[in-house]
Amino acid sequence: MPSFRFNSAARAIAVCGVFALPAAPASALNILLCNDDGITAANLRALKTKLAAAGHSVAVAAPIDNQSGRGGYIAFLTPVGGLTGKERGALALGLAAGAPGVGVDAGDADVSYVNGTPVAACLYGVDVLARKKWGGVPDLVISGPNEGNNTGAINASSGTFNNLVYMINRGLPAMAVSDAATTQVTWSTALPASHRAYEVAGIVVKLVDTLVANKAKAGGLLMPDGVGLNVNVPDFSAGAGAALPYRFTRIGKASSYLPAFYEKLSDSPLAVASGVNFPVPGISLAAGGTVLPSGVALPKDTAATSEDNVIATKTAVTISPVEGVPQARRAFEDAMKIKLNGIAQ
Amino acid sequence: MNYLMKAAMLAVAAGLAGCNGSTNTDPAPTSSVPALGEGALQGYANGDTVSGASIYTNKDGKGFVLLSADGDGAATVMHVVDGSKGRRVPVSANGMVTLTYDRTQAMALNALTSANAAGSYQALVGGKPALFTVAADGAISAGGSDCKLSGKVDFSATYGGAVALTLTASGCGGSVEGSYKGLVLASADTAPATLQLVGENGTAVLDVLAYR
Repeated sequence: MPSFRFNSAARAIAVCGVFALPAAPASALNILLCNDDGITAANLRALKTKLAAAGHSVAVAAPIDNQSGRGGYIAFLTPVGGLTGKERGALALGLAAGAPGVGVDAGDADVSYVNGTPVAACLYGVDVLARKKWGGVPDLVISGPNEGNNTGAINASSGTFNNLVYMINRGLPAMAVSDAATTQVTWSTALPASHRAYEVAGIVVKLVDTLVANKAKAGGLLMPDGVGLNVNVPDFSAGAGAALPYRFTRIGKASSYLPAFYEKLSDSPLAVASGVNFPVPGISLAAGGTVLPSGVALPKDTAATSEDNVIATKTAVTISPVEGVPQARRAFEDAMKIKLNGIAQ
Repeated sequence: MNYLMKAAMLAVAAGLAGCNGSTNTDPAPTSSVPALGEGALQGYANGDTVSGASIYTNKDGKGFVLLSADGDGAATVMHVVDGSKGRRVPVSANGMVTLTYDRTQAMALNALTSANAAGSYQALVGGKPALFTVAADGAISAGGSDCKLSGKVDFSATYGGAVALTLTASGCGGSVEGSYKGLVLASADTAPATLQLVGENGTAVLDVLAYR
Protein backbone atom coordinates (compact mmCIF):
# COMPACT_ATOMS: atom_id res chain seq x y z
CA MET A 1 0.00 0.00 0.00
CA PRO A 2 1.43 3.42 -0.85
CA SER A 3 2.39 5.71 1.98
CA PHE A 4 -0.92 7.56 2.17
CA ARG A 5 -0.28 8.73 5.72
CA PHE A 6 3.07 10.27 4.84
CA ASN A 7 1.80 11.69 1.59
CA SER A 8 -1.23 13.38 3.08
CA ALA A 9 0.81 14.85 5.93
CA ALA A 10 3.42 16.19 3.57
CA ARG A 11 0.78 17.68 1.30
CA ALA A 12 -1.02 19.29 4.23
CA ILE A 13 2.16 20.98 5.38
CA ALA A 14 2.86 22.20 1.89
CA VAL A 15 -0.66 23.59 1.49
CA CYS A 16 -0.47 25.39 4.84
CA GLY A 17 2.66 27.08 3.60
CA VAL A 18 4.57 26.40 6.80
CA PHE A 19 7.47 25.19 4.73
CA ALA A 20 7.64 23.60 1.35
CA LEU A 21 8.24 19.90 1.74
CA PRO A 22 8.21 18.14 -1.60
CA ALA A 23 5.22 15.80 -1.58
CA ALA A 24 6.13 12.15 -1.98
CA PRO A 25 4.90 10.73 -5.26
CA ALA A 26 1.66 8.78 -5.05
CA SER A 27 3.62 5.70 -6.01
CA ALA A 28 5.92 5.98 -2.99
CA LEU A 29 6.23 2.82 -0.94
CA ASN A 30 7.25 2.06 2.61
CA ILE A 31 10.14 -0.31 2.01
CA LEU A 32 11.93 -2.43 4.59
CA LEU A 33 15.44 -3.56 3.69
CA CYS A 34 17.00 -6.64 5.29
CA ASN A 35 20.07 -8.69 4.46
CA ASP A 36 22.45 -11.26 5.89
CA ASP A 37 25.75 -9.46 5.29
CA GLY A 38 25.13 -6.88 7.99
CA ILE A 39 24.06 -3.25 8.25
CA THR A 40 27.30 -1.81 6.94
CA ALA A 41 27.30 -3.74 3.66
CA ALA A 42 27.68 -1.30 0.79
CA ASN A 43 25.06 -3.08 -1.32
CA LEU A 44 22.41 -2.54 1.36
CA ARG A 45 23.18 1.13 1.93
CA ALA A 46 23.48 1.91 -1.76
CA LEU A 47 20.04 0.43 -2.34
CA LYS A 48 18.62 2.43 0.56
CA THR A 49 20.09 5.59 -0.96
CA LYS A 50 18.70 4.88 -4.42
CA LEU A 51 15.22 3.93 -3.18
CA ALA A 52 15.02 7.03 -1.01
CA ALA A 53 16.09 9.15 -3.94
CA ALA A 54 13.23 7.61 -5.93
CA GLY A 55 10.79 8.94 -3.31
CA HIS A 56 10.26 5.86 -1.19
CA SER A 57 10.33 5.77 2.59
CA VAL A 58 13.03 3.26 3.49
CA ALA A 59 14.09 1.60 6.73
CA VAL A 60 16.80 -0.97 7.33
CA ALA A 61 16.71 -3.85 9.82
CA ALA A 62 19.77 -6.04 9.43
CA PRO A 63 22.20 -8.10 11.48
CA ILE A 64 25.07 -6.24 13.12
CA ASP A 65 27.41 -8.99 11.93
CA ASN A 66 27.89 -10.89 8.72
CA GLN A 67 25.41 -13.75 9.06
CA SER A 68 25.87 -15.39 5.66
CA GLY A 69 24.88 -19.02 5.50
CA ARG A 70 22.59 -18.92 8.51
CA GLY A 71 19.58 -19.82 6.38
CA GLY A 72 16.34 -19.55 8.32
CA TYR A 73 17.94 -20.10 11.72
CA ILE A 74 16.19 -18.52 14.69
CA ALA A 75 17.31 -18.74 18.31
CA PHE A 76 13.95 -19.31 19.96
CA LEU A 77 13.42 -17.81 23.40
CA THR A 78 17.02 -16.64 23.55
CA PRO A 79 17.38 -13.00 24.57
CA VAL A 80 19.29 -10.86 22.10
CA GLY A 81 22.60 -10.23 23.75
CA GLY A 82 24.84 -7.17 23.72
CA LEU A 83 27.60 -6.68 21.19
CA THR A 84 31.15 -7.94 21.54
CA GLY A 85 32.44 -5.03 19.52
CA LYS A 86 33.99 -7.42 17.04
CA GLU A 87 31.00 -7.77 14.74
CA ARG A 88 31.40 -6.48 11.17
CA GLY A 89 28.94 -3.66 11.81
CA ALA A 90 30.30 -2.86 15.25
CA LEU A 91 33.82 -2.49 13.89
CA ALA A 92 32.63 -0.26 11.05
CA LEU A 93 30.43 1.92 13.24
CA GLY A 94 32.71 2.00 16.25
CA LEU A 95 30.24 0.27 18.56
CA ALA A 96 31.94 -0.94 21.71
CA ALA A 97 31.58 -4.22 23.57
CA GLY A 98 28.44 -4.16 25.66
CA ALA A 99 26.48 -1.97 23.26
CA PRO A 100 22.76 -2.94 23.09
CA GLY A 101 21.86 -6.00 21.01
CA VAL A 102 19.23 -3.99 19.17
CA GLY A 103 20.10 -0.48 18.19
CA VAL A 104 20.38 2.25 15.61
CA ASP A 105 23.24 3.51 13.48
CA ALA A 106 24.09 6.86 15.05
CA GLY A 107 24.73 8.19 11.58
CA ASP A 108 21.35 7.18 10.12
CA ALA A 109 18.25 6.85 12.25
CA ASP A 110 16.59 4.72 9.57
CA VAL A 111 19.19 1.97 9.91
CA SER A 112 18.63 -0.46 12.76
CA TYR A 113 20.68 -3.47 13.70
CA VAL A 114 19.97 -6.68 15.57
CA ASN A 115 22.62 -8.87 17.14
CA GLY A 116 21.04 -11.96 15.67
CA THR A 117 20.38 -13.97 12.56
CA PRO A 118 19.12 -12.52 9.28
CA VAL A 119 15.57 -13.73 9.89
CA ALA A 120 15.62 -12.39 13.45
CA ALA A 121 16.67 -8.98 12.17
CA CYS A 122 14.08 -8.96 9.39
CA LEU A 123 11.32 -9.98 11.80
CA TYR A 124 12.40 -7.10 14.03
CA GLY A 125 11.96 -4.87 11.02
CA VAL A 126 8.42 -6.04 10.34
CA ASP A 127 7.15 -6.53 13.87
CA VAL A 128 8.73 -3.57 15.64
CA LEU A 129 10.53 -1.10 13.41
CA ALA A 130 7.91 -0.81 10.65
CA ARG A 131 5.13 -0.30 13.17
CA LYS A 132 7.07 2.46 14.87
CA LYS A 133 8.03 4.16 11.61
CA TRP A 134 4.94 3.67 9.49
CA GLY A 135 2.26 2.51 11.88
CA GLY A 136 1.94 -0.80 10.07
CA VAL A 137 3.68 -3.36 7.94
CA PRO A 138 5.88 -2.30 5.02
CA ASP A 139 4.53 -2.19 1.49
CA LEU A 140 7.55 -4.13 0.26
CA VAL A 141 10.45 -6.01 1.83
CA ILE A 142 13.75 -6.39 -0.02
CA SER A 143 16.43 -8.73 1.31
CA GLY A 144 19.88 -7.89 0.01
CA PRO A 145 21.51 -7.28 -2.34
CA ASN A 146 23.66 -10.12 -1.09
CA GLU A 147 27.40 -10.27 -1.61
CA GLY A 148 27.31 -13.36 -3.83
CA ASN A 149 24.59 -15.08 -5.81
CA ASN A 150 21.93 -17.19 -4.16
CA THR A 151 20.76 -19.69 -6.73
CA GLY A 152 19.18 -23.10 -6.77
CA ALA A 153 20.03 -25.54 -4.01
CA ILE A 154 22.09 -23.09 -1.95
CA ASN A 155 19.00 -20.98 -1.30
CA ALA A 156 18.03 -23.31 1.55
CA SER A 157 21.14 -22.16 3.42
CA SER A 158 20.89 -18.49 2.51
CA GLY A 159 19.81 -15.87 5.01
CA THR A 160 19.00 -13.52 2.15
CA PHE A 161 16.65 -16.07 0.61
CA ASN A 162 15.11 -17.20 3.90
CA ASN A 163 14.22 -13.61 4.73
CA LEU A 164 12.22 -13.73 1.51
CA VAL A 165 10.45 -16.93 2.54
CA TYR A 166 9.52 -15.53 5.93
CA MET A 167 8.20 -12.32 4.45
CA ILE A 168 6.14 -14.12 1.81
CA ASN A 169 4.60 -16.18 4.57
CA ARG A 170 3.78 -12.98 6.43
CA GLY A 171 1.72 -12.01 3.40
CA LEU A 172 4.09 -9.24 2.36
CA PRO A 173 5.36 -8.45 -1.14
CA ALA A 174 9.02 -9.36 -1.00
CA MET A 175 12.10 -10.04 -3.05
CA ALA A 176 15.56 -11.37 -2.35
CA VAL A 177 18.38 -9.87 -4.40
CA SER A 178 21.88 -11.30 -4.74
CA ASP A 179 24.81 -10.01 -6.72
CA ALA A 180 27.56 -12.08 -8.28
CA ALA A 181 30.27 -9.97 -6.63
CA THR A 182 31.34 -11.69 -3.41
CA THR A 183 33.75 -9.07 -2.12
CA GLN A 184 32.68 -7.59 1.19
CA VAL A 185 32.49 -3.84 0.66
CA THR A 186 31.80 -1.66 3.68
CA TRP A 187 29.50 1.30 3.20
CA SER A 188 30.89 4.78 3.08
CA THR A 189 29.38 8.03 1.90
CA ALA A 190 32.59 8.43 -0.05
CA LEU A 191 31.68 5.45 -2.24
CA PRO A 192 31.63 6.83 -5.80
CA ALA A 193 28.31 6.91 -7.63
CA SER A 194 29.87 4.67 -10.25
CA HIS A 195 30.50 1.89 -7.73
CA ARG A 196 29.03 -1.49 -8.55
CA ALA A 197 26.83 -1.33 -5.43
CA TYR A 198 24.96 1.61 -6.99
CA GLU A 199 24.65 -0.17 -10.32
CA VAL A 200 23.10 -3.17 -8.58
CA ALA A 201 20.83 -0.83 -6.63
CA GLY A 202 19.71 0.70 -9.91
CA ILE A 203 18.77 -2.73 -11.22
CA VAL A 204 16.59 -3.26 -8.15
CA VAL A 205 14.99 0.17 -8.33
CA LYS A 206 13.97 -0.53 -11.93
CA LEU A 207 12.25 -3.71 -10.78
CA VAL A 208 10.44 -1.84 -8.01
CA ASP A 209 9.38 0.90 -10.43
CA THR A 210 7.95 -1.72 -12.79
CA LEU A 211 6.04 -3.48 -10.03
CA VAL A 212 4.54 -0.17 -8.94
CA ALA A 213 3.64 0.82 -12.49
CA ASN A 214 1.87 -2.50 -13.07
CA LYS A 215 0.25 -2.82 -9.67
CA ALA A 216 -3.24 -2.72 -11.14
CA LYS A 217 -2.54 -5.70 -13.39
CA ALA A 218 -2.95 -9.39 -12.56
CA GLY A 219 -4.79 -9.05 -9.30
CA GLY A 220 -4.39 -5.45 -8.18
CA LEU A 221 -1.54 -6.05 -5.71
CA LEU A 222 2.13 -5.14 -5.84
CA MET A 223 2.74 -8.90 -5.98
CA PRO A 224 0.28 -11.78 -5.82
CA ASP A 225 -0.28 -12.92 -2.26
CA GLY A 226 1.98 -15.83 -1.38
CA VAL A 227 4.55 -15.20 -4.09
CA GLY A 228 7.84 -13.30 -4.08
CA LEU A 229 10.89 -12.97 -6.26
CA ASN A 230 14.40 -14.36 -6.05
CA VAL A 231 16.54 -12.00 -8.12
CA ASN A 232 20.15 -12.60 -9.07
CA VAL A 233 22.50 -10.19 -10.78
CA PRO A 234 25.25 -11.71 -12.92
CA ASP A 235 28.80 -10.58 -13.24
CA PHE A 236 28.98 -7.52 -15.50
CA SER A 237 31.50 -4.94 -16.58
CA ALA A 238 31.60 -1.58 -14.84
CA GLY A 239 28.93 0.67 -16.28
CA ALA A 240 27.02 -2.15 -17.97
CA GLY A 241 24.53 -2.88 -15.17
CA ALA A 242 21.76 -0.60 -16.40
CA ALA A 243 21.74 -2.29 -19.80
CA LEU A 244 21.34 -5.82 -18.45
CA PRO A 245 18.11 -7.47 -19.56
CA TYR A 246 15.88 -9.27 -17.07
CA ARG A 247 14.87 -12.89 -17.63
CA PHE A 248 12.34 -15.12 -15.89
CA THR A 249 13.96 -18.28 -14.61
CA ARG A 250 13.20 -21.15 -12.28
CA ILE A 251 14.98 -21.74 -9.01
CA GLY A 252 16.09 -25.19 -10.13
CA LYS A 253 18.81 -27.02 -8.25
CA ALA A 254 21.88 -25.70 -10.06
CA SER A 255 24.23 -23.76 -7.83
CA SER A 256 27.92 -22.98 -7.74
CA TYR A 257 27.83 -23.48 -3.98
CA LEU A 258 26.45 -26.76 -2.73
CA PRO A 259 27.14 -27.46 0.94
CA ALA A 260 29.02 -30.71 1.56
CA PHE A 261 30.70 -32.31 4.52
CA TYR A 262 34.43 -32.94 4.26
CA GLU A 263 36.23 -35.23 6.67
CA LYS A 264 39.21 -32.99 6.01
CA LEU A 265 38.52 -29.41 5.00
CA SER A 266 41.96 -29.39 3.40
CA ASP A 267 40.42 -31.65 0.72
CA SER A 268 38.05 -28.83 -0.28
CA PRO A 269 39.50 -26.48 -2.91
CA LEU A 270 37.24 -23.69 -1.72
CA ALA A 271 38.28 -24.18 1.90
CA VAL A 272 41.94 -24.14 0.92
CA ALA A 273 41.42 -21.02 -1.19
CA SER A 274 39.73 -19.42 1.81
CA GLY A 275 42.70 -20.17 4.03
CA VAL A 276 41.06 -23.06 5.87
CA ASN A 277 43.74 -25.52 4.83
CA PHE A 278 43.47 -27.81 7.83
CA PRO A 279 42.87 -31.57 8.01
CA VAL A 280 39.83 -31.14 10.25
CA PRO A 281 36.21 -32.05 9.52
CA GLY A 282 33.68 -29.46 8.46
CA ILE A 283 31.25 -28.11 5.90
CA SER A 284 32.52 -26.51 2.72
CA LEU A 285 30.98 -25.66 -0.62
CA ALA A 286 31.42 -27.23 -4.04
CA ALA A 287 29.80 -27.01 -7.45
CA GLY A 288 27.17 -29.43 -8.67
CA GLY A 289 28.75 -32.46 -10.31
CA THR A 290 31.72 -32.43 -7.92
CA VAL A 291 32.74 -35.86 -6.66
CA LEU A 292 33.68 -35.61 -2.99
CA PRO A 293 36.69 -37.46 -1.57
CA SER A 294 34.19 -39.94 -0.11
CA GLY A 295 32.99 -40.76 -3.63
CA VAL A 296 29.63 -39.02 -3.24
CA ALA A 297 28.70 -37.06 -6.37
CA LEU A 298 26.87 -33.79 -5.81
CA PRO A 299 23.75 -33.49 -7.98
CA LYS A 300 24.09 -31.46 -11.15
CA ASP A 301 21.26 -29.55 -12.78
CA THR A 302 21.78 -28.61 -16.42
CA ALA A 303 18.31 -27.16 -17.15
CA ALA A 304 18.57 -24.03 -19.26
CA THR A 305 15.80 -22.42 -17.20
CA SER A 306 17.55 -22.83 -13.84
CA GLU A 307 18.65 -19.46 -12.47
CA ASP A 308 22.24 -20.49 -11.80
CA ASN A 309 22.71 -21.71 -15.35
CA VAL A 310 21.47 -18.37 -16.69
CA ILE A 311 23.66 -16.44 -14.25
CA ALA A 312 26.63 -18.44 -15.50
CA THR A 313 26.04 -17.02 -18.99
CA LYS A 314 26.32 -13.46 -17.61
CA THR A 315 23.58 -12.35 -19.99
CA ALA A 316 20.64 -11.36 -17.79
CA VAL A 317 19.34 -10.53 -14.36
CA THR A 318 17.36 -13.59 -13.32
CA ILE A 319 13.92 -13.40 -11.74
CA SER A 320 12.54 -16.59 -10.20
CA PRO A 321 9.04 -16.40 -8.70
CA VAL A 322 9.02 -18.13 -5.32
CA GLU A 323 6.27 -19.44 -3.09
CA GLY A 324 6.62 -19.40 0.65
CA VAL A 325 5.76 -23.00 1.38
CA PRO A 326 7.44 -26.08 -0.06
CA GLN A 327 4.21 -27.70 -1.14
CA ALA A 328 4.82 -30.30 -3.81
CA ARG A 329 3.42 -29.71 -7.25
CA ARG A 330 0.19 -31.48 -8.07
CA ALA A 331 1.98 -34.11 -10.18
CA PHE A 332 4.15 -35.17 -7.21
CA GLU A 333 1.28 -34.91 -4.76
CA ASP A 334 -0.88 -37.24 -6.86
CA ALA A 335 2.00 -39.69 -7.27
CA MET A 336 2.42 -39.87 -3.49
CA LYS A 337 -1.33 -40.28 -3.00
CA ILE A 338 -1.25 -43.28 -5.30
CA LYS A 339 1.69 -44.79 -3.39
CA LEU A 340 0.02 -44.26 0.00
CA ASN A 341 -3.53 -45.05 -1.07
CA GLY A 342 -5.13 -47.24 1.53
CA ILE A 343 -3.46 -45.69 4.55
CA ALA A 344 -4.10 -42.00 3.82
CA GLN A 345 -6.89 -40.17 2.08
CA MET B 1 -45.48 -33.70 -21.54
CA ASN B 2 -47.41 -35.68 -24.11
CA TYR B 3 -46.23 -36.68 -27.55
CA LEU B 4 -48.18 -34.01 -29.38
CA MET B 5 -46.81 -31.22 -27.23
CA LYS B 6 -43.25 -32.50 -27.72
CA ALA B 7 -43.77 -32.68 -31.44
CA ALA B 8 -45.16 -29.16 -31.51
CA MET B 9 -42.23 -27.78 -29.56
CA LEU B 10 -39.76 -29.56 -31.78
CA ALA B 11 -41.51 -28.10 -34.80
CA VAL B 12 -41.31 -24.59 -33.36
CA ALA B 13 -37.65 -25.11 -32.54
CA ALA B 14 -36.97 -26.38 -36.02
CA GLY B 15 -38.79 -23.41 -37.50
CA LEU B 16 -36.83 -20.94 -35.42
CA ALA B 17 -33.60 -22.60 -36.42
CA GLY B 18 -34.62 -22.26 -40.04
CA CYS B 19 -35.41 -18.56 -39.65
CA ASN B 20 -31.73 -17.56 -39.65
CA GLY B 21 -30.84 -20.04 -42.28
CA SER B 22 -28.80 -22.16 -39.90
CA THR B 23 -29.16 -25.76 -39.02
CA ASN B 24 -26.37 -25.57 -36.49
CA THR B 25 -27.42 -27.38 -33.33
CA ASP B 26 -24.40 -26.23 -31.28
CA PRO B 27 -25.38 -24.55 -28.04
CA ALA B 28 -25.19 -20.78 -27.93
CA PRO B 29 -21.75 -19.41 -26.99
CA THR B 30 -21.28 -18.70 -23.32
CA SER B 31 -17.87 -17.14 -23.68
CA SER B 32 -15.87 -14.96 -26.00
CA VAL B 33 -12.16 -15.69 -26.47
CA PRO B 34 -9.31 -14.30 -28.56
CA ALA B 35 -9.14 -16.32 -31.78
CA LEU B 36 -5.78 -18.08 -32.07
CA GLY B 37 -3.86 -20.07 -34.63
CA GLU B 38 -2.76 -23.66 -34.25
CA GLY B 39 -0.56 -24.31 -31.23
CA ALA B 40 -0.27 -24.71 -27.50
CA LEU B 41 0.15 -21.67 -25.26
CA GLN B 42 0.24 -20.99 -21.58
CA GLY B 43 -0.34 -17.67 -19.91
CA TYR B 44 -2.57 -15.54 -17.76
CA ALA B 45 -6.27 -15.21 -18.54
CA ASN B 46 -8.31 -12.18 -17.52
CA GLY B 47 -12.08 -12.23 -17.24
CA ASP B 48 -12.79 -15.54 -15.57
CA THR B 49 -12.79 -16.75 -11.99
CA VAL B 50 -9.41 -18.48 -12.32
CA SER B 51 -6.51 -17.27 -14.39
CA GLY B 52 -3.84 -19.91 -15.00
CA ALA B 53 -4.43 -20.65 -18.68
CA SER B 54 -3.37 -23.45 -21.01
CA ILE B 55 -4.64 -23.01 -24.54
CA TYR B 56 -4.73 -25.73 -27.21
CA THR B 57 -5.87 -24.86 -30.73
CA ASN B 58 -6.11 -27.00 -33.87
CA LYS B 59 -5.55 -25.94 -37.47
CA ASP B 60 -9.22 -24.93 -37.83
CA GLY B 61 -9.13 -22.58 -34.86
CA LYS B 62 -11.05 -24.96 -32.65
CA GLY B 63 -9.74 -26.01 -29.32
CA PHE B 64 -9.79 -25.83 -25.57
CA VAL B 65 -8.82 -23.29 -22.95
CA LEU B 66 -8.05 -24.88 -19.59
CA LEU B 67 -8.12 -22.62 -16.55
CA SER B 68 -6.79 -23.42 -13.11
CA ALA B 69 -6.20 -21.40 -10.00
CA ASP B 70 -2.44 -21.21 -10.32
CA GLY B 71 -1.48 -22.89 -13.53
CA ASP B 72 -0.26 -25.96 -11.63
CA GLY B 73 -3.45 -27.21 -10.02
CA ALA B 74 -6.10 -29.23 -11.80
CA ALA B 75 -8.16 -27.37 -14.37
CA THR B 76 -11.51 -26.35 -12.93
CA VAL B 77 -12.85 -24.39 -15.88
CA MET B 78 -12.74 -25.25 -19.58
CA HIS B 79 -13.74 -23.17 -22.57
CA VAL B 80 -14.49 -25.28 -25.64
CA VAL B 81 -13.69 -22.80 -28.38
CA ASP B 82 -14.39 -22.38 -32.07
CA GLY B 83 -12.60 -19.29 -33.30
CA SER B 84 -13.65 -16.51 -30.99
CA LYS B 85 -16.75 -18.25 -29.68
CA GLY B 86 -16.57 -20.42 -26.63
CA ARG B 87 -18.66 -22.64 -24.40
CA ARG B 88 -17.67 -22.38 -20.78
CA VAL B 89 -17.82 -25.43 -18.56
CA PRO B 90 -19.22 -25.11 -16.01
CA VAL B 91 -21.63 -22.41 -17.18
CA SER B 92 -20.90 -19.15 -15.42
CA ALA B 93 -23.56 -17.89 -13.04
CA ASN B 94 -22.71 -14.41 -14.28
CA GLY B 95 -23.60 -15.12 -17.88
CA MET B 96 -21.27 -14.47 -20.80
CA VAL B 97 -17.56 -14.58 -19.99
CA THR B 98 -15.06 -12.60 -22.05
CA LEU B 99 -11.47 -13.81 -21.87
CA THR B 100 -8.33 -11.88 -22.68
CA TYR B 101 -4.79 -13.21 -22.37
CA ASP B 102 -1.59 -11.77 -20.90
CA ARG B 103 1.96 -13.04 -21.32
CA THR B 104 1.10 -16.06 -23.39
CA GLN B 105 4.06 -18.14 -24.44
CA ALA B 106 4.43 -21.27 -26.47
CA MET B 107 4.19 -24.46 -24.48
CA ALA B 108 6.57 -27.25 -25.37
CA LEU B 109 4.65 -30.50 -25.11
CA ASN B 110 6.24 -33.89 -25.32
CA ALA B 111 5.42 -35.63 -28.58
CA LEU B 112 2.46 -37.92 -28.14
CA THR B 113 2.10 -40.84 -30.51
CA SER B 114 0.32 -44.15 -30.45
CA ALA B 115 3.70 -45.78 -29.98
CA ASN B 116 4.83 -43.89 -26.93
CA ALA B 117 1.41 -43.47 -25.33
CA ALA B 118 0.44 -47.12 -25.43
CA GLY B 119 0.81 -48.87 -22.12
CA SER B 120 -0.55 -49.34 -18.63
CA TYR B 121 -1.35 -46.43 -16.34
CA GLN B 122 -2.57 -45.64 -12.88
CA ALA B 123 -4.31 -42.46 -11.85
CA LEU B 124 -6.38 -40.85 -9.11
CA VAL B 125 -9.91 -40.09 -10.21
CA GLY B 126 -12.18 -38.45 -7.68
CA GLY B 127 -9.66 -39.55 -5.05
CA LYS B 128 -9.90 -43.19 -6.10
CA PRO B 129 -7.13 -45.14 -7.79
CA ALA B 130 -7.86 -46.18 -11.36
CA LEU B 131 -5.90 -48.65 -13.48
CA PHE B 132 -6.24 -48.46 -17.24
CA THR B 133 -4.42 -49.17 -20.48
CA VAL B 134 -4.02 -47.25 -23.69
CA ALA B 135 -3.76 -49.47 -26.78
CA ALA B 136 -1.84 -48.62 -29.92
CA ASP B 137 -5.11 -47.77 -31.65
CA GLY B 138 -5.93 -45.32 -28.86
CA ALA B 139 -8.53 -47.42 -27.09
CA ILE B 140 -8.65 -46.79 -23.34
CA SER B 141 -9.63 -49.87 -21.37
CA ALA B 142 -10.29 -50.14 -17.68
CA GLY B 143 -8.09 -52.33 -15.51
CA GLY B 144 -8.89 -54.19 -12.33
CA SER B 145 -9.62 -51.17 -10.12
CA ASP B 146 -13.12 -50.33 -8.85
CA CYS B 147 -12.81 -46.93 -10.47
CA LYS B 148 -12.84 -47.53 -14.19
CA LEU B 149 -11.79 -45.34 -17.09
CA SER B 150 -12.59 -46.19 -20.69
CA GLY B 151 -12.65 -44.29 -23.92
CA LYS B 152 -10.53 -43.35 -26.89
CA VAL B 153 -7.48 -41.28 -27.73
CA ASP B 154 -7.62 -39.93 -31.27
CA PHE B 155 -3.99 -39.37 -32.22
CA SER B 156 -5.03 -37.91 -35.58
CA ALA B 157 -6.88 -34.95 -34.01
CA THR B 158 -4.12 -32.68 -32.75
CA TYR B 159 -4.32 -29.42 -30.86
CA GLY B 160 -0.81 -27.96 -30.72
CA GLY B 161 0.66 -31.29 -29.67
CA ALA B 162 -2.24 -32.42 -27.52
CA VAL B 163 -4.63 -34.98 -29.00
CA ALA B 164 -8.37 -35.53 -28.76
CA LEU B 165 -9.89 -37.63 -25.99
CA THR B 166 -13.21 -39.19 -25.10
CA LEU B 167 -13.32 -40.66 -21.62
CA THR B 168 -15.91 -42.30 -19.41
CA ALA B 169 -15.46 -42.62 -15.66
CA SER B 170 -17.50 -45.10 -13.68
CA GLY B 171 -17.28 -46.38 -10.15
CA CYS B 172 -15.12 -43.40 -9.23
CA GLY B 173 -17.59 -41.52 -7.09
CA GLY B 174 -20.66 -39.51 -7.94
CA SER B 175 -18.93 -36.22 -8.47
CA VAL B 176 -16.88 -37.46 -11.41
CA GLU B 177 -19.10 -40.09 -13.01
CA GLY B 178 -19.85 -39.45 -16.67
CA SER B 179 -18.51 -39.10 -20.16
CA TYR B 180 -16.05 -36.41 -21.08
CA LYS B 181 -14.56 -34.90 -24.22
CA GLY B 182 -11.25 -33.13 -24.24
CA LEU B 183 -7.53 -33.67 -24.63
CA VAL B 184 -4.61 -35.89 -23.74
CA LEU B 185 -1.20 -34.30 -23.47
CA ALA B 186 2.28 -35.03 -22.21
CA SER B 187 4.37 -32.26 -20.69
CA ALA B 188 7.50 -31.86 -18.60
CA ASP B 189 5.43 -29.60 -16.35
CA THR B 190 3.38 -32.57 -15.15
CA ALA B 191 6.28 -35.01 -14.69
CA PRO B 192 6.49 -37.58 -13.17
CA ALA B 193 3.03 -38.10 -14.63
CA THR B 194 3.25 -39.43 -18.19
CA LEU B 195 -0.11 -38.20 -19.42
CA GLN B 196 -2.65 -35.56 -18.52
CA LEU B 197 -6.23 -36.37 -19.49
CA VAL B 198 -8.65 -33.49 -19.27
CA GLY B 199 -12.19 -33.19 -20.50
CA GLU B 200 -15.67 -31.77 -19.90
CA ASN B 201 -19.08 -33.34 -19.73
CA GLY B 202 -21.14 -30.20 -20.20
CA THR B 203 -21.35 -29.40 -16.53
CA ALA B 204 -17.97 -30.23 -15.00
CA VAL B 205 -14.28 -30.60 -15.83
CA LEU B 206 -12.27 -33.75 -15.12
CA ASP B 207 -8.48 -33.39 -14.99
CA VAL B 208 -6.49 -36.57 -14.39
CA LEU B 209 -2.75 -37.21 -14.22
CA ALA B 210 -1.73 -40.71 -15.30
CA TYR B 211 1.46 -42.47 -14.20
CA ARG B 212 3.12 -45.54 -15.62
